[in-house]
Amino acid sequence: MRLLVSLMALLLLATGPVAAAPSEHEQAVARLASDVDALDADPSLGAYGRVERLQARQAIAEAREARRRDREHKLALAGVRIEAARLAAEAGLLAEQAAQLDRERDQILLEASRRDAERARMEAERQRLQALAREEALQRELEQSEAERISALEAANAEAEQARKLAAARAREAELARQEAELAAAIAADEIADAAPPPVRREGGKQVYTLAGNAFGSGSASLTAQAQASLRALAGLLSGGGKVTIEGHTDSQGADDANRKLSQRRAEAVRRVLEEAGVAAGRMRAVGQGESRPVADNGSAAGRALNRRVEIIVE
Amino acid sequence: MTLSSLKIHLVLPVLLAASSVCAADELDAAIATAGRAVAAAEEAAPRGDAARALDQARAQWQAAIEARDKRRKSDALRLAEVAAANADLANARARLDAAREEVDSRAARNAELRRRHLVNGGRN
Repeated sequence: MRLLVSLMALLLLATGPVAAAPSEHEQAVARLASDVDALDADPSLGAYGRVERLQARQAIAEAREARRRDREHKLALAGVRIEAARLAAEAGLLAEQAAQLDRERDQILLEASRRDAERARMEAERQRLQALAREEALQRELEQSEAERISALEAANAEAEQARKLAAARAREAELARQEAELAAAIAADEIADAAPPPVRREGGKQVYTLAGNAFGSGSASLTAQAQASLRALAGLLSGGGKVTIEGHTDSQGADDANRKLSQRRAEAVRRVLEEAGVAAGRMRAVGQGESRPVADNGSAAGRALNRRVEIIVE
Repeated sequence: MTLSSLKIHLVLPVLLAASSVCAADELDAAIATAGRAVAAAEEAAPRGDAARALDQARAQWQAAIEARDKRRKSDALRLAEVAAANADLANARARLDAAREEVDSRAARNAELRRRHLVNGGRN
């Protein structure tokens, strides 16, 4: 019995210093456990690397329970497992960040697509407005063109109507002129048919036929049809031969030279009619006396009418 | 021979044999676990420090196999455990490197997309 007590005392003495070693070991294990706890509590990493952390805790537990000779080995393994858990957690965090970046990419593409759609919508609207503006401009051009066409057509119609009216008026005028000419011709024919030679008087064996001043137009040397008919009637009386002197006279109105030239042209006109009516040209002489030989008073209109005359003197 | 001695002589060899079998199973399992860990780390295509950690784990795994073949079971078990832990560490470091590259790449990609589509208003 004493031997047994002695052996137990020796055992206690032997294990006394050794009892301090587990304390250091436990401290090392506690530090490792603390590291894992810190990883668990990390707000950014705590949610990642759960499997690796479980492996680390299992390794810590094995280290805690390890026999003396295995403790260092197990502590080292636990340290490696904790480091692997930390790396796995960081990798998980980065994987989450990568996923977040993918979501961000999707948002960017969605926003870009929305902007593209907006731009396309605005471009379509711009094109639509441009097309509308072009269509309106074209419509205005068409309307203006149509208005101009109608205006031109109306102007052409008005011009044609005016031309038609003018042509009708001219035709009417021509018709009236023709009728007037026919009427004048008929009157002239009647007058000619009934024409008588100019009045005659005798002066010293000469016959003096006097063609009154109204046989000519005013200021003109053209004979009226009536006067021409009267002269042709006179020509029939002059077939007997003898010298014929044709004298033109004017009143005293106007310049002397002008009156002389007018009287000369009137005498020549009478001579041509007589010649055409058969009186030989060689028998006739035309003389313009101007205002030099009045037969009446130039102070009155009646007197000036008598002074404007052509006398055909037959010897 | 007493009854107790008989028990001891009969039971002890059985217990020793069973213990030996269990230890062999535990060692093979540890070596297999380390091999799977090394293979998994290789699939992560580690580079740099991770690749070096994987090389170390692979060497430890081979050493564990050799120690087992030489019946140094205790050394083999320790080497297998260290190989598995280092392979897992290499795997984690490789995944961390890959994740960091992915983040950098996607951040750059997003910046380019933002510049092309949003900042420049879709005009490149």
